Amino acid sequence: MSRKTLVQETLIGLEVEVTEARCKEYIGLKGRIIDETRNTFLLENDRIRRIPKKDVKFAIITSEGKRIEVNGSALMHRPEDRIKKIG
Amino acid sequence: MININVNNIYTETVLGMMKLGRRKIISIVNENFDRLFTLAEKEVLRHNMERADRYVELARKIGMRYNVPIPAKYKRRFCKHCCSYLLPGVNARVRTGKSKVIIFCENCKKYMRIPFIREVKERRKTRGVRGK
Repeated sequence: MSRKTLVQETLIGLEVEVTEARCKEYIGLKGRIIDETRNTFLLENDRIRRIPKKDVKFAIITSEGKRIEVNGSALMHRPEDRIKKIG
Repeated sequence: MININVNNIYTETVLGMMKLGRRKIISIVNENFDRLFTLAEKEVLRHNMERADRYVELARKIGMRYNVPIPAKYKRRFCKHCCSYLLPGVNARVRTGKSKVIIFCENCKKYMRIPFIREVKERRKTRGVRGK
């Protein structure tokens, strides 16, 4: 999985960290994505939190252990509409 | 020149498919199926049934959007009536009878029947047994 194909694949099950956000509480949050809607991610570590994608920067850790920084606004699709988006 | 409204989800999908190519789409969708079903299996073993059902729902939605059938190996893993993930012994019962695999969903109390009449016929031929 690379930066280009990231938009095409399901993000559910991947580890994610919030690197930049307007709300200070979100910064540094880590967890596994357990669900996704058009506008939010549902993260789980010790508790479950819903985090908006808009104007939040994420570092996604892929299954190969690579760390990819993405702007959350680029990921704003429903998971089933993903593949049509060309990287 | 036809004016295409790109804000429409359907036209966007079609345009995306034209750019990516059908084969590429099928391979990506199949990858997504693999990932979602392995996740669903993990969640079911942790007794998070709702989450597993959600992953099945997502897999089905992706398949329907891009017109890709769910592979045969995953077809018995969810109920065809209520789409819940089935784990034999927990929320499903599997029996054979009348040349069919009969799967009972404890969630919606309905049956799925998958015939294996072809295998039965094959067996009859190789054994040379007459009869029905």
